[in-house]
Amino acid sequence: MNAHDKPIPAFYCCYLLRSKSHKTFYIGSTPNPARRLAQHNGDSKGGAKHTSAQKSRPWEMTCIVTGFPSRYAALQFEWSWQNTHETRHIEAHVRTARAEAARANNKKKSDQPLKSLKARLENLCYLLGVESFRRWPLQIRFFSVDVYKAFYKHTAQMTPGLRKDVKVILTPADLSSIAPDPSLQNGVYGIPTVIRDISVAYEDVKSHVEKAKTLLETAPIHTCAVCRSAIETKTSLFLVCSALGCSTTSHVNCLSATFLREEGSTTGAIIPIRGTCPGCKTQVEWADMVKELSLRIRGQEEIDTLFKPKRRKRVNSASEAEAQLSTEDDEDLDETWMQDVEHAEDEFPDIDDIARS
Amino acid sequence: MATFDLVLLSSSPPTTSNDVRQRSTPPSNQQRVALPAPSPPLLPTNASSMAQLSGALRSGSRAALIPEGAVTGFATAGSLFRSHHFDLTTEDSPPPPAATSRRAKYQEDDQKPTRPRKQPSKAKAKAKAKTDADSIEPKPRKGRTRKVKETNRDGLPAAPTTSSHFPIVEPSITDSAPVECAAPAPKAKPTKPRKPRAVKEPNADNVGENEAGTKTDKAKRSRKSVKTQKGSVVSEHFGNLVQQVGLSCDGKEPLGVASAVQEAPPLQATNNCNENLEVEEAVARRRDWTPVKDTIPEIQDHCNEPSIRVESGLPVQTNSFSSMLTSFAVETLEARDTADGTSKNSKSTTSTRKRRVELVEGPNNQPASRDSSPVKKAPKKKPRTITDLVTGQYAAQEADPISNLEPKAFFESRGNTVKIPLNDVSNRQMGTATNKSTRKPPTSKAAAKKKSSKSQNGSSKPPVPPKMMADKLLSPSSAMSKFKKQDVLFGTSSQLALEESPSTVRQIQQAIRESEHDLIPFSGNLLYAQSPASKGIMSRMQKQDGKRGLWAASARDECGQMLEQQEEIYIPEPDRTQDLPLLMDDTVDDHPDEMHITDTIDVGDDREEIIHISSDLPTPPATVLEERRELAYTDAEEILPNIEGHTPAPIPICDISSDFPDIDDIPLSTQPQRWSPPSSDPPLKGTLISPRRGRGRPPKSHSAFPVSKVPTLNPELRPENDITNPRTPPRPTGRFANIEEILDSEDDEALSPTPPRNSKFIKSPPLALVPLSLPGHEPAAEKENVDDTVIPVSMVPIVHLQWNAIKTSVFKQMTSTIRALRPSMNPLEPSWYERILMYDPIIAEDLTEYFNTSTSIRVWRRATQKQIKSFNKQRKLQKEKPLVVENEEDHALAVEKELEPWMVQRWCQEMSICCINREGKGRGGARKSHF
Repeated sequence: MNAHDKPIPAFYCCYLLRSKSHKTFYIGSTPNPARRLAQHNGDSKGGAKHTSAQKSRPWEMTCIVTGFPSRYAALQFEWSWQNTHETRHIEAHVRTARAEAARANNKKKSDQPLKSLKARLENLCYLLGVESFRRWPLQIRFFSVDVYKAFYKHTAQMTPGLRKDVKVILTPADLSSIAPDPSLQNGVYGIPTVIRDISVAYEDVKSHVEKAKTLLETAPIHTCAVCRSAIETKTSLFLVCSALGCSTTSHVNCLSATFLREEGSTTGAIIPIRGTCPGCKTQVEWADMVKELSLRIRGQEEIDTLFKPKRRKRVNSASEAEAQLSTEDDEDLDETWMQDVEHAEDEFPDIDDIARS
Repeated sequence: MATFDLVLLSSSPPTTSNDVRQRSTPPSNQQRVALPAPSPPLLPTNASSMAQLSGALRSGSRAALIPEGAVTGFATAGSLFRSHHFDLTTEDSPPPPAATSRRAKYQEDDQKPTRPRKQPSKAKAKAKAKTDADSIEPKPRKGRTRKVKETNRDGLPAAPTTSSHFPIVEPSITDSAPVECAAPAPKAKPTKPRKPRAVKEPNADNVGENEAGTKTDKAKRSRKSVKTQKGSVVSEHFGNLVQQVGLSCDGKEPLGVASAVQEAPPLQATNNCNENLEVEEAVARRRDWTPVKDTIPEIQDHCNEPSIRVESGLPVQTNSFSSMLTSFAVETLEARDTADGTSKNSKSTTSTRKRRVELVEGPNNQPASRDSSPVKKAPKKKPRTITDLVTGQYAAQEADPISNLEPKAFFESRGNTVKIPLNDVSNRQMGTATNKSTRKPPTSKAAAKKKSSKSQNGSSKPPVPPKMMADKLLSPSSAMSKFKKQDVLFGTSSQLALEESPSTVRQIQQAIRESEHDLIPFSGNLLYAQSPASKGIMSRMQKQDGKRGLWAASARDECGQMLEQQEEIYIPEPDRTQDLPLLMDDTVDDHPDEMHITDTIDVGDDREEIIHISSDLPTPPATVLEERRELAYTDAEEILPNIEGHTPAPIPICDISSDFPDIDDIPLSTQPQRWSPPSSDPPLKGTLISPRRGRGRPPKSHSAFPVSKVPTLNPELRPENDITNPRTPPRPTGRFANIEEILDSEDDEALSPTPPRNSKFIKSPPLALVPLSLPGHEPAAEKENVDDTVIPVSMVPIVHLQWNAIKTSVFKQMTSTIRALRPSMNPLEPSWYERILMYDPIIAEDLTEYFNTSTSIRVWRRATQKQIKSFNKQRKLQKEKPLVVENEEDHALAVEKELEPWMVQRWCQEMSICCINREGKGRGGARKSHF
């Protein structure tokens, strides 16, 4: 059981690519969508085979599903999205029913699963509501307005509908303004700034991590906001409120129970999605707090890298600092880069690796 | 033979006709020229047939005519040389012969006056042989004619065909002179013999002279018939040959070739007095063996040269020619006396192998050595030289027979030991010196013969030596081994040590016998009694003895640690080399170097020993064992002669050492490794049982052996042997335990990892539930220890047997269990609950293990009748009411069943927990099942 040796990844997403002709689609997963998109477009090495056709380039990243708490979660979701017709995350009878329905609606071919945008969006919507992924802190972020519209258009008719707790964000990418970025890529096709600006590191939790760090440094013992008992910071797992300026600490178990209770857990779920901080009474995401926790207990290395640049920034000149930043980003990406190359496409990690890791 | 003669006779006329045709029709000639290829293949077939027959013939003939045999060897060498040379020429350079043939044709054309003569002869032949239409005849002729034409045209290529024919024809002559006389055959025969001297044939085609020759032949043949003495026969043969040659020469005379003319007179003289003269020469040669050797190469040279010269039309020296004749005569003699001549003619390699086989068989079949007695005389005279020793290796074939003969004597006295010494010889045989030392007298003659054979093989038959080289070159390892072997031979000036080796073997055997004195019932098998196999049979009882002895100590390790053995098995080759020396040490302490060198041979020996051991097996497939033994012997013997002979041997050696280890060698090698210590000591027999099977099926045996065979054998041993060896019982127990664990497959459901199967099983009538801790012992436990191991059977609603029905309840239990988990006190090792809360990917197997070990969450599985019985039995003992299902529709007796990973995975899905499987069948499978 070494799977928990790594903290929750800073970023992992599944994405839906659309070819230049808008006729073919590709589903993948990556911790770094910008880099991955460049790969698909041939701007950098390691693109997927399915996206190697020059005629279908440039690929457009229409949307991404973010918030996967682990690489394996992202891979599972990716695979299920790719193979909705045979994933175990959908009950067999449901699968067959959906397949039959799709078959009935499909006028051309009855054998192969639909690969249209509509089918993929419907599958996405359905998968988000599936038991296996129901409690995952997922979000959908659209970069293509037409796909965003199509998503709501198609999913509106679906009976289960999109689950309520899934945030859907539209950040349209200005494809017209895209130009190859000489600094990052040598390729022909540029990466939309929206995608390039996606934070794939732990920067967004940086403040949170710092807060927890200071809390730990200030006092060895804290009080659980839920059970009001002492928290041994060295022996117990506790969460720090992710809200800005809130230093509420609580046991993992206590807060999860509180959130679930708040949620009115009729489903008997174990993992909460979000809840109200007992201290600051703000709505906080369970995933954010857990991410900080995992970083704190398992991600010393990541924290070091997260805080490294600042020190150097002080020492070195501004220009060098920028260079450092860019290179460090690349380094961070490089760590996931190989994984991306190996697994983003179709390959899934060996479970042994998981066990080992 | 008679049939062949007839055919040949009939063939002669067509040849003449063919000649005419050739001359008349160039295209036909061309076609015929192309034909030569088929003829050579024919030769080997004849040779093979002859070779098969040769064994008996040889022995008989040799017994009568030993001195002749020596001569024959030389003669054969010359003839063989020619034939091979011709073959080579044909193979190497077919075009030049064609040119020569054309020249001959032109010459013939010039000499047309002779042709009319031929035609009448043809007509006669036709009239005699066939009154059928000429049109019909040509077809059969063609086949024959082709050969003849080939000979005529290609001079050189014709030789092989003739050589093959010779042996056939000649015996027929000796056997049935009247038949030949009656038929027009004499003409044909002379032509055929001419063919070998093919160059001359075109000349010899002239009928009139041929007829004269035939007349003389007839007269001689009549003489032959009158003469029953072998010596006379030989002389006759010489005469025949000479006559034939002379005829051919005569034929040349009319052609006007100077060489032919010169040759003719001596030939005629020979014709008249050939028999006596040649006989004298033969006797002289017999007496002076060494000079004969010298002559041989000369003859060969002459043979080579004259053939060419004749073609060119240059005169040939009379001496050389006479020598040629003698050489041919020798061939004929051999052909008559021994079919071997044919084999020699055909190809040395084939003949050698066959001979070897014969030799091997010979000792068993023929108690008395036929050849050895006469041969021995000459060899004694000769001092051995290093060259002889070296060359003797190449001439291994003959040496082998001799060796076989001597061992026979030993073995006849001691039936049991026979095979082993052979093996030993074979083993060290690489150093033929050992064999030679014991068999020096025969070997010397053998060496002479070998020399002849060598000359045949090496000089006379150029193709053979290249093969030799090629073989050596082919396998560098073999070459290295050969080098070493040669060194050993030279170094084996200490052959004495080798001689000792058999003695040591005998001692070992005696020791084995002594140990086996206990022998018993199986002695009834006569076959086994003398053969070493009997040892094996006898050895059962001794197996126990072995256990007692040192071997038992070694056995402990083997039996005690099955796994280790298997591992060893898996690494066969590296161990082989190491172990083999050990085996050799056991059997013989001679030369470590040789041991290494002769790994392959050693293997063969090991086989035999192993076989003996194997014979001990309880199930006595006597026939099978014998066969195996025989096979092993034959193999070993074959290998040995090959090694000595080097000519054919190198290939098999190489193969054995490197190429063929797969089937036989591996098991042998591996087994000897394990079993080697036992082989050295008599006690080993008991252990040896297994190796036999391993031998038969090396791969399977290794895997299967430890598990199945041993236990079966052991029980048998127990009852038979009252001897209480603490070691034997432990073996079976340990093995059985392992086996049971493996074999008890009733628990498959619990053990089976794959969820889909399990689901199916659940629906199907459930099997007995067995706790994982006691998977294998369940049945036994129920019988023996009712109290402890009885699995509680409870009556549950039949619905609970369905996963879907109890799923929710199980999930609830699991959820509550997880939620109730206390928070861990070590952040680095969070509890399952905390892990889940932290989005850790949960490995289904681990969580399942936790549930099964730390919780009482179980599912139901229908109880088997066995379980119900045992459970009710226990209840009876406890004076409780037996559990009986009253309403079978609603309730069923069930036993608890542990959760399985797939169940936990379902729960994780239900709880939206990222769950993965640790087990992945490849990437694709993992992807599908896990994602």
